[in-house]
Amino acid sequence: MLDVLVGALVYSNLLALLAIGLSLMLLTCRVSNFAHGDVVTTGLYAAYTASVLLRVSPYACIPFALLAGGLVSLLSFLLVFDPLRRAGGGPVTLMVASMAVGIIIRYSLHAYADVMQRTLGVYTRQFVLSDFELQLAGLRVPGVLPLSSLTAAVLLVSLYVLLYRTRLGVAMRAAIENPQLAESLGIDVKRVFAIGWFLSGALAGAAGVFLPFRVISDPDVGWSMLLPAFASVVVGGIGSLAGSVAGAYVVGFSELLLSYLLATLGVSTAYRPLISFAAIVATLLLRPKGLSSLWSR
Amino acid sequence: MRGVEVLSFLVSTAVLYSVYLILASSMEIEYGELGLPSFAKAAFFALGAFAVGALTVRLGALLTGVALEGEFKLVSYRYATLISASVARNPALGLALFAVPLLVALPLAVLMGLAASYPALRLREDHLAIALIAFSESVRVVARNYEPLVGGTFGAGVVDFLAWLRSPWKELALLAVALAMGFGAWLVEYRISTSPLGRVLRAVRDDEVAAQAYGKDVARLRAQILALGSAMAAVAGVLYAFYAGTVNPDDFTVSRTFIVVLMVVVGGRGNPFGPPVGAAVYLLLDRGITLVKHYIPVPFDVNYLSYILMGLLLILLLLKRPGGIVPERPLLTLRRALPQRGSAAAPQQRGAEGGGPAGT
Amino acid sequence: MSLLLEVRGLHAGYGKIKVLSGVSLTVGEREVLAVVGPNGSGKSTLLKAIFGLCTVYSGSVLFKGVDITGLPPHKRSLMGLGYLPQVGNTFEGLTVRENLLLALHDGSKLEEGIGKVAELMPELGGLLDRRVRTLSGGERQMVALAMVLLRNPSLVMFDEPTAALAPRVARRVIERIAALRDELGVSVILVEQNARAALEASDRALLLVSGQPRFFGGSSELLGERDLVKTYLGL
Ligand SMILES: Nc1ncnc2c1ncn2[C@@H]1O[C@H](COP(=O)(O)OP(=O)(O)OP(=O)(O)O)[C@@H](O)[C@H]1O
Ligand SMILES: [Mg+2]
Repeated sequence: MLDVLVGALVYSNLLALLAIGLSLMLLTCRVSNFAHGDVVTTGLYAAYTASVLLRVSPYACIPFALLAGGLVSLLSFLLVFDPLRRAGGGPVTLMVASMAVGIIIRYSLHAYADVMQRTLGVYTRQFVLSDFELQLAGLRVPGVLPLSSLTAAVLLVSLYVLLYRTRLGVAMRAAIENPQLAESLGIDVKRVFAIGWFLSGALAGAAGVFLPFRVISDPDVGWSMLLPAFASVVVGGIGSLAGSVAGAYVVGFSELLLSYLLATLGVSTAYRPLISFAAIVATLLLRPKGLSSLWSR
Repeated sequence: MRGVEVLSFLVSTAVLYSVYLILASSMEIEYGELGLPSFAKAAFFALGAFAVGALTVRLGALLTGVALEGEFKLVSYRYATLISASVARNPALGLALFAVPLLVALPLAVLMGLAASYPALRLREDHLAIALIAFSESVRVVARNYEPLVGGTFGAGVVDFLAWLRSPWKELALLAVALAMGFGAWLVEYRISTSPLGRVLRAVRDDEVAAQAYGKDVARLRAQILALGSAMAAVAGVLYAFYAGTVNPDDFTVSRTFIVVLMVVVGGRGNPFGPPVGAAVYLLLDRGITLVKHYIPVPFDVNYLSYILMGLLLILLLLKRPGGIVPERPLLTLRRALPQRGSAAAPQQRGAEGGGPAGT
Repeated sequence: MSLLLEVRGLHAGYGKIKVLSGVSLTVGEREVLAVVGPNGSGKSTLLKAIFGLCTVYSGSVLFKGVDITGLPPHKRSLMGLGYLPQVGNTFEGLTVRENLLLALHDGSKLEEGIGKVAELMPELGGLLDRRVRTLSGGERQMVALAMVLLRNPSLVMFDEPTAALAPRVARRVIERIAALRDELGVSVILVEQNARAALEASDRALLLVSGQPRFFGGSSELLGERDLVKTYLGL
């Protein structure tokens, strides 16, 4: 049971890091970004590579993951999504483009994994990284629990401060609400959105660092987190940043606790993804505003 | 390469082309013409394949009086070979094993398509797309874990329904069946696209207000088109399963749907020639790279390159030529009427453009 | 009196939809110009064309003697042209304070700016931390006005600032806007449905009908043109 709770918290932390970026990208470009899972994987391999080269723990390489994720996301905005948005591409066209971007990133990582395995002589597919353990309140917990919680907390709070306490954040929220008015007040909307995309990608990249400590990793592993992350966004209420974070913990804990309960009844835990898939469909149909309807009208 | 290899390479390419032509034609009707992002395509495709995977061995065993022993996932391939041997002596059995999965899959696909039209009326298009993708992945997750269906991750064996034919004839027969199905599906799409119905579909796609003005009819239209498109995808699934000789749930991922969308977008949304062109471009790229992969010196598996190129191609087209390779022609059916009107309309138009926009 | 704004033979619209044809006007320093006309006659379009938000086919706009016809809106705003659109003139999800912050050219002077706003519009002082969405229609207009004024404009264009207000209140708001000229020394273009109040409060008037100018001159002269006023303004 403790394992389940630890797993749920770590998983939810990572979902939160993804979901808030997905929301930010939906708000700025109206794109449901199917490449975001692969940005996570980019962060994973960036940190993994750095840790092999520098002979330090992957945890110490989070800055590399932030940078790699942020840059990939920024590039996708500048080269693909911003031009398409300006050309009047609808949300589905943008979504299709994002699938293409995702495929480009994912298979580039596949190619990179081959090269990395050859040149660095480490496993780059079907691998897990060994974690350290520590004593917390008399319980043995894996290091990924406090570290992922700390990272998620620090990054999410920083993002909150940026958005709500700085001039740039005010400009970003203004540009999201009414780009034309923002433009007429002298705000460079494209630049502000670009910063938003960099931050979204950076958060996703950071999430990637923790994955190999929990699941068997390969270049497809981030992609498998994408639909649960979308479930977090939908459950939290599309368009609500706070909702996405709340949604991440709701989805993360329901997935693990429900599948644990069902397992005690003899249902295989392999059915676990169904929980977040069902959450997407049910929320959209029954309660389109999700959790955010609890605190806003 | 020897003659047999060349033949089987050509046949397999042509069969795959037919499968993708069916899928792309169905996606073209739903997404290209009506603007419905029917992104559960992989699930409907899977439905046809699962019908084959779940039924041919069991039904074949029943009809030949063989008792199935052991877990399905472990024995299906063995029994598939066994029953194929019976088919070799009994063409009628082969035809029955081909027809029954088709007859089971079609009504199921129609029902599921109708069910999918319920969210289609309620959700914004991008939310609908996400919901359908979630649904599609759910089908895959269930199939890969519920082993009695098609053997879970082991997959299921498929009886060779053409086992009664000898080598070149067998391939040619499969080719004929595939091409008939592929071009049949495309013909359906072509007829719809060029008929008044096609114009209604595109009008609904382009104009929310018009869509609302049609009212109830739009709801029915969407249900009918989704039912048709889903049935077509299921037919493709049946064909694909018999071609591959095995059914594996992990073959039906979101990437499969994406590839079909890619064909439609690359070919040209709203143009009936989009699907055949798009499917051809995809196969050329995919097969082309397989053919030349030994000559490309890269330090990784060359197959990755074909995916990357595909993604780049799609993005470049969206940016530089959003209409696709054969873009939609405005009012295809009116085109014939244009020459008569042309002379009268031209000067008028020139007059109206008189000022010419001088920037904003 | 020197010219602040000069519009010459303006043809403008939206893409292929042509709305204005051959509109010319001038606004001098410390002058209030009322733009009146029936619904759909192109009043809002005229302001958008001057601010650079729609397609200009021919003609030119001169501001402070500079041809600004091809300039992007935010540059015009920096030159001292203020524009208060009919709708969407505030960020509703943001607080009043954040809206004011965005209106300032550089962040350093927020406190100073707020002081200035509080002086001009004491009502806003107590609303600084409310979200604009939760304000009344009149209060929102006030925020929008404050945002424009904070940018120290020389000319402010108002598009129906009284649309949502009761007639009695509307007249007061119009008089208040006209008074800005004396308080801040700015010029004003005022698009109004309340034609009588607008004409009484303004120096000059432009009557637009179907995108074409039917009258441009002194406001009191327009009030004297019984036929025009009766046919097009229902006065
Ligand atoms: N964004 C737009 N795109 C296309 N046409 C537009 C647009 N905005 C306005 N129009 C058209 O331009 C014409 C003039 O509109 P405008 O808003 O300038 O009128 P108005 O005089 O401000 O009317 P009102 O008094 O109702 O505000 C109308 O026929 C309108 O339909
Ligand atoms: Mg107006």
